[in-house]
Amino acid sequence: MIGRIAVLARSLWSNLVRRQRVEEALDDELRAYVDLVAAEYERAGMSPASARRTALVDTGGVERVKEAARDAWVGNALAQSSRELRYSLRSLRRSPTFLGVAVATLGIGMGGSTAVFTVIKGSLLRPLPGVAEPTRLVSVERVQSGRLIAEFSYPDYQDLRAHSTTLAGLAAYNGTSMALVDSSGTGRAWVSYVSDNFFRVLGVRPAVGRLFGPADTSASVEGAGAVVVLGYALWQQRFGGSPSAIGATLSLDGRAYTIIGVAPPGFIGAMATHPMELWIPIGVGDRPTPALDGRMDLASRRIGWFRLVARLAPGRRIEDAQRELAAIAGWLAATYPTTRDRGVRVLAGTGMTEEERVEARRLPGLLAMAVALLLLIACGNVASLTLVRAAARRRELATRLALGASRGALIRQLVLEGIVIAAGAGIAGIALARLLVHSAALVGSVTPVPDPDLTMDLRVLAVALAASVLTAVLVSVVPAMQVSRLHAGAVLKDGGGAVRRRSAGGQRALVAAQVGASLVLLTAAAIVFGALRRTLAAHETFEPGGLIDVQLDVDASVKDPTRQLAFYRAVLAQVVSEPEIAGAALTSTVPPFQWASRATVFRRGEEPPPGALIGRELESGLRVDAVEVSRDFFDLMRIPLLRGRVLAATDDEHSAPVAVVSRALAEALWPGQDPVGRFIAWPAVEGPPRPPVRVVGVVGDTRDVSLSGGPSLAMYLPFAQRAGGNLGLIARGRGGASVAPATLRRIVAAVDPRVAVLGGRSLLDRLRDETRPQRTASAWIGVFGIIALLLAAIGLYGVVAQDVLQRTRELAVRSALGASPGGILRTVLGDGMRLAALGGAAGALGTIAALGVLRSFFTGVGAVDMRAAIVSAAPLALAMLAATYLPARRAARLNPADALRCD
Amino acid sequence: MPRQTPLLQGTLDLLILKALALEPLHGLGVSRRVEQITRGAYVVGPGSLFPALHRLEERGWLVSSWGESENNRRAKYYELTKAGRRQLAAETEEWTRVAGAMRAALEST
Repeated sequence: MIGRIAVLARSLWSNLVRRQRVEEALDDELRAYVDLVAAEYERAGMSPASARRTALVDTGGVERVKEAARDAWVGNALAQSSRELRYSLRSLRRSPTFLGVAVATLGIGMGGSTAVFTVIKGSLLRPLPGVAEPTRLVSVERVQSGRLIAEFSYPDYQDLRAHSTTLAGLAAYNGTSMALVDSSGTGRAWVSYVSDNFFRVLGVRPAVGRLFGPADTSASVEGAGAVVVLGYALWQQRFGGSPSAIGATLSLDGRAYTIIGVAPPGFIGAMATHPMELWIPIGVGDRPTPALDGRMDLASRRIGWFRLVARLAPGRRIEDAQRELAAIAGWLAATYPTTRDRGVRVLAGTGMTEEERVEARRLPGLLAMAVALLLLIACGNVASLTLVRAAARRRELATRLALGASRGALIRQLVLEGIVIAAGAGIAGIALARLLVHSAALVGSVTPVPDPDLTMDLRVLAVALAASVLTAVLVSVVPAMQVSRLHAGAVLKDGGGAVRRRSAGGQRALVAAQVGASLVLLTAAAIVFGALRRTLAAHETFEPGGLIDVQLDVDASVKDPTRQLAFYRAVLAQVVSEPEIAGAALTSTVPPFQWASRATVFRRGEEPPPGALIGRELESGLRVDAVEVSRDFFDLMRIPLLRGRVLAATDDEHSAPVAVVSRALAEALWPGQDPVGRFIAWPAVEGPPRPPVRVVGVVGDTRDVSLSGGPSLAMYLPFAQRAGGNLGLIARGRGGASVAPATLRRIVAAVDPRVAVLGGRSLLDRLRDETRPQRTASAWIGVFGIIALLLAAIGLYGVVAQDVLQRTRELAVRSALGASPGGILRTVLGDGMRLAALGGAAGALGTIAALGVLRSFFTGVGAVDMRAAIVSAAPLALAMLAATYLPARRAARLNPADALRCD
Repeated sequence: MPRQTPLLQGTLDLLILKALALEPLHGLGVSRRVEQITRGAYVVGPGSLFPALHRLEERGWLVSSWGESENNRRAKYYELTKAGRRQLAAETEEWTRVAGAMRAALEST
């Protein structure tokens, strides 16, 4: 056995490594054999020449015998593959256009789709940053009348926390914007109020100092509760990253807090889409922390204030937690009538609103579809390109077959060529993906999508790579199959011309099909991209240009509602009388109404009776954005009036309450009817009753900030009839110039020096900040679209140019027979345009069919998308023209003799 | 010309080993010897001969060396190794056994 292995090893060694010598020996041996046979014939009386010829015929083709002998060698397949690989490379080098287009197409398709998927996913679908094991975190939410509601009351939270064993920890949190004053100045900041175990549940360690513990919220500890943890970015900004910040104090909404620690870099709290900057305890015992005093009642079960985030206990699954918490909720419902019909739902993914969750589910599907379309375009291109080339190669393949190459060897070589292309494309694709993601990271650092996760998505890369390899191999099998059916003699006798003529019809059909398919795919891509873009669009339905926006912190210094109103009126009057200001308005918030106060509204008469405003009754209403504005708000924002009138100066605290509604709200409440003159009820849950308001007008929609970009359900109320709370001031300068914040500060100070003026950024900047992740994604979808278009154009160029190139011989003959260069050019161009028209017509039909399919996926596929399809057809036409014209011009200029020889 | 018989799977290797049992031969010599010992029933063309010779050599049953042919030409001679002789003996025994069994089977009534 050992001897046998040694013999084998020796053979393998000489076959692979000393190949040359082995080949020479085979050569010698066969030559000797033929000599011996010839000598026999000579002895039998033949002439030396005919003896030799007969000997060769007897041998039956020296190359064939050699091939058969080689097959017997150990390790031959291996040696052969490397030889075939070299041959494939040489063969591909001979057609650089084909190689270039194929590798570029697949590479761009692969790299582009991987990069775009990575960036969009990284900036929009990333897990919560800065926490330990984010996948073990779950969100606990309420179900009420079949709807999910995020917020729990404090007592409910405490009961769930006390009785759960499937959760390693359950923390409560929420956030709000507060006026922040510290040694470096004033401003507003996002403050999250959290339960004492919040940081522990999320698995966060302090960068400096310490985080909250039970001691900070224990009612028995003197001076407890007024402590704050800084976000890392805020710490860097306001304290220069100095450790001396620990122990310093700052003020939030006028209350003093002591800084005890700094959160680690990247940590933004429990909501991925709403980064927080500061953290304070919810309360001390059951008393709210000072800055929240008066805002919430921690003892009441009636209203939910807090979102819940939990970490699953080791070994527990989400279903276990669901079962247990549902049981606890059932017990709570039975014990406290206020909480009847409240269920609990445990959900994967923390800190997302219901809309965001829907989008998070929808987005990967859309993205995957876009990626698939892109790859389809790329693979389709390469497939048709290979088919065109295959037709041109029939002669070459037939020649090799006649010279003794086995069919198996030919097929192996063709498949190998496909693999070489796919491998080249894979390398190019990975390089491109890295480059794109890297540049995205650079852009990201200039315009911070907070900490996008830009590790390359390997799954997409793998899928893309597999698709390319599969395409390359599959399409290379087609010419190989042709070879198998090939009769070498027939092809060679035809000399190319006849073959060309016969296969020309099929090839033309291929070009036309490519035109058509490109059109269909591009239209489909345009529609998917459109849907993605719409999904992500924070489409501005108002005009923020030139507007400045400041917040007036009136509540902190002026308590009396009447004096507040007087203050606002005085400020507004002063501001509009300022010569540099063209217009100004008061508003509680600006679109998109991300931070508007929400109200639940009903058609009058359908609201639940007073006192029954809990649970199902309240949930049956519509949740709308209640926005308090002054008269000129709509004019200033360029929100159009559609019906009735806008608010007037006479809609004040003495007149009957009125409202202006957005079109979407009007449609939701009174579909197809005129809402003007009707009444909206919006009963208060607590506090004094609120009378219904009469609708006086309908204005255009603005979109909300959510990814799906739906219209806000907005109810605009006159500021004079508002319930309370700070208002902001927006102003536009004369001639579109922006207003200096200092001007507004001066005016406000003149009216009441105690009122702080916060903010002062242009509205455009603010909107850019608030919608940055969406805009980043939207821009990348644009990149996606351009890549798709590029690919389709490249592919079309490749196919058409190959086709024309193959006609070189035919064109040369025509030219030799007296056709003028201009005539040849016209012929080729005419042919090309006919094909384009044919393909275009087929594409249009295909597009109509595709639209039908896509309509079932996306709502609102319509005229806009058709426009995109038509726009995308223009570059295709251009590519077609160039692909026909350039080779045709070359062919027309060629010396006919050269062209005939070059085949 | 005697009727030629298609080679049974595996018989070619055995015939080559047998042909080489007496003395070393070059390729054409093997071919002629096979023809002779099978009384013309088998003519081995180069297309099957050389692959078989190379295969047997790689198995270690044959060794080859360059030598002078009968009419003073260089030719590659094959000769049986010890392993080759053992293989020939084993295969001969096996073949005889099979052939005997086949004959018995076909002659039984």
